[in-house]
Amino acid sequence: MNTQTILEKYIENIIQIMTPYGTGTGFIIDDLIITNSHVVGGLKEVVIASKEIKRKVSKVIYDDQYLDLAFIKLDNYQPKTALILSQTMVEDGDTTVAIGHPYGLNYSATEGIVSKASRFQDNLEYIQTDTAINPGNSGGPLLNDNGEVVGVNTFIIQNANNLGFALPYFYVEEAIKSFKELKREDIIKCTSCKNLIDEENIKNDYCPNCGTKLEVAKLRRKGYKPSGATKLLETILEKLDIDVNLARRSQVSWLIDRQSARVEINYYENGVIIGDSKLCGIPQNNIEDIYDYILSENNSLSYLQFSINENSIYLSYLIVDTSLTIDEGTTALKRLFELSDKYDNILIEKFGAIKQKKQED
Amino acid sequence: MSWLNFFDNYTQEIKHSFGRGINANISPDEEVLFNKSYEAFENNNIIDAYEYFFKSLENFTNNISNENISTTREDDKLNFIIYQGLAKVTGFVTEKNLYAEVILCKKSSAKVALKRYILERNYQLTYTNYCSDDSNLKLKLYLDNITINPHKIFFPLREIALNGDYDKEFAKSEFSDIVLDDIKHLKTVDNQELKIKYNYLHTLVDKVYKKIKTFPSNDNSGMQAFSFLYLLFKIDYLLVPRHKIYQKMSKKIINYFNDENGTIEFKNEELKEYIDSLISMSFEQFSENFYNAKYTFSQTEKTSHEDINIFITESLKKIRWYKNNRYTQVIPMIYKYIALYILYNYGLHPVTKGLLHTLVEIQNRDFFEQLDYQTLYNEKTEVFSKRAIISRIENIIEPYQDKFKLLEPFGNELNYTSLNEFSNSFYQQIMNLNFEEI
Repeated sequence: MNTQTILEKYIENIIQIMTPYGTGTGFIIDDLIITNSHVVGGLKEVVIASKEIKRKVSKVIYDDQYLDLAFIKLDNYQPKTALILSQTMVEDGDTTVAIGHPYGLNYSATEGIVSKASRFQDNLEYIQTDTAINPGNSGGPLLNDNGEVVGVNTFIIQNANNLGFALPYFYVEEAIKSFKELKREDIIKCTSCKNLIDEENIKNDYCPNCGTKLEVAKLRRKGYKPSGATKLLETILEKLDIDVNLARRSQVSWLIDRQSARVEINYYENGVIIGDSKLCGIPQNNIEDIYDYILSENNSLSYLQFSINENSIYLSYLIVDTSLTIDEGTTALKRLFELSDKYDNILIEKFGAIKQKKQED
Repeated sequence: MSWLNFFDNYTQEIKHSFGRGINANISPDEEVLFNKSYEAFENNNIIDAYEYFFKSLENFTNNISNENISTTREDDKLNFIIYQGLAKVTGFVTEKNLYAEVILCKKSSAKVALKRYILERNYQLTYTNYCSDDSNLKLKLYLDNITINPHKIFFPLREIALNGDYDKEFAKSEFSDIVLDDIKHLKTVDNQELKIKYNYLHTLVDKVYKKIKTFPSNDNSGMQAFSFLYLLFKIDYLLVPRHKIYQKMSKKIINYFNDENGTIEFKNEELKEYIDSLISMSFEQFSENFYNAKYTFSQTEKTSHEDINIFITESLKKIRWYKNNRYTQVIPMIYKYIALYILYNYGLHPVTKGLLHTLVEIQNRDFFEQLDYQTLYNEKTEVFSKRAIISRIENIIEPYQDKFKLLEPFGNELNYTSLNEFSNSFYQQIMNLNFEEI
């Protein structure tokens, strides 16, 4: 199969995984989403989305830092064409395809070859490939030309070209088998004795078998706790009935879709918080009329303002973190959500502005 | 003041603006007023707090208020005006909020390009935005007073004032048919002063071009670069042009330092072309680029003394290189360039600024003499007015010695044998200034 056919056939198996620490890729095998441990960032819950799954929170039920492997629970969904794990090892020179979301570019497929079928690193075997793998590809599948999973894209050598490494399928197969045998969720693999441990049995983050301190147990126990202005901002979003877990793109950015409007909130290092709604594009005609209209609206708008950037009209709310209060933040963001949609419609219908095309999850 | 200068009063009254920035001294009570504002905000006396804050922004020249800020109370409201070059920020404060605006121009006179420009500016501004009412295009600021304190007022007010001024300047130079509004507060520059500046520009360019001809014909691009940049920094600091000259000159300087791909020869040519265009201006065209105005906020961020020292050290190294390689003809220019570069690029402590201004005055005696300032150096006889210089340095440093105990006047330590030696020793002494608060 060529790369395009593989992508089209198995795209429903490819999952985007989002945590406050970043984004990565996963893929469906049976009733599990397979990904890297570093993608789930030691969290018990992550946000997932795919072509067929709307953004939702899902549980991380297996976390193995040793193999850098994690399983996420997949409820009530089976893709039309299921991905399967390969049963034969790749050979040097074999064609491989990586599918993932590098730098947030959804469902990107890249093609390459196996540079070395078996490369050892810290006593583990990896497939070395020149298939382009970038941040965001982590946890995604490396496929052979039959569309079977030969490995999990796990790491690259930074500042080098085309040096990617995938964890071979047999480690994944073995991990799934061992996990399923336990018939339990919330399993952590000890990085020292390699035993699978039920999280319930872990006391003070120590492995009950070998006494090693389990970093992942500590991270899962603590969870993600926003603080300062980030916490205040999330409280405001919750007040506005927004599921912050789904809205959160990172520790400092949130994305909220409300009807036709999409609002991005970013908290910058200089302390400025900006809620931007990218409305429509500037039309070819009546351009000055649009300028007159939005300049005039700016006069009466409070908290919000219209601006233009790269040929698009923005409605924005800007505030410095130390000035953010629950009352002002709630009023301002509520207005931003409501008015974005309203103004988008006015600008398109009355002035012929161009509707933006949105990138779906 | 030392006994040496006890009977002489060498305090120089400043009669003109030099360089950018507020060109004035901040209020001697600035810190007290700022703290009072803070206390009043904490006690929820919002109007009082704002009044103290505005007073803390007042600046002075020769101990006389520049009236750059005005406030009037009206029942539960405080009306205010802040002057910043072309921008007149008018507004009011109530218990609940602050509103301020700068009028750019009449709505009816604005062309589509200006509207696009200000809408794009809205994307860059943090606290303020451009809008239009029935008659004007204006930059506006609205603040809730819920969490406000003097720190939080400073930045939004500075943004509206600096950007109001900058955008009016930009619009005037970019859109020639624009009629700026709300600029009655500007004062015209005396015709005699303009003539002095116009003639000085020609003399200056002529001198520098003649100097360039003395450079070795090969491998002189570095020296030419110093010469052209020195010229532009000097025009900016001494003549203080506005509008088109200022805008274009700023662009040329930015391009020079930011263009990493162009060769020095190419960049020199660009600068020369611009300087040629300056001297081809008629007196009338030249005069259109000048006005006097009051300023409240400095447009440059404060630079640490350490950064200034680094720049001086690097520049003195370059001078040594030219000296060792026997290109002595460019050295006097680089000594002058150092002070002008610092004054153009850095936000300076009043002590550093005062001292560098004194050095510029000494190095450019011909210009200051025409403006009727006391002569500190006679170029022909190469004699310095040592006592006046010592006194001037003391007058600059003494007011700050209570705060910076290790700050010492250094007039006696300077080398008065030649202008180059003097400049060199002056920079060494500036590097020795100790701004440590004990």
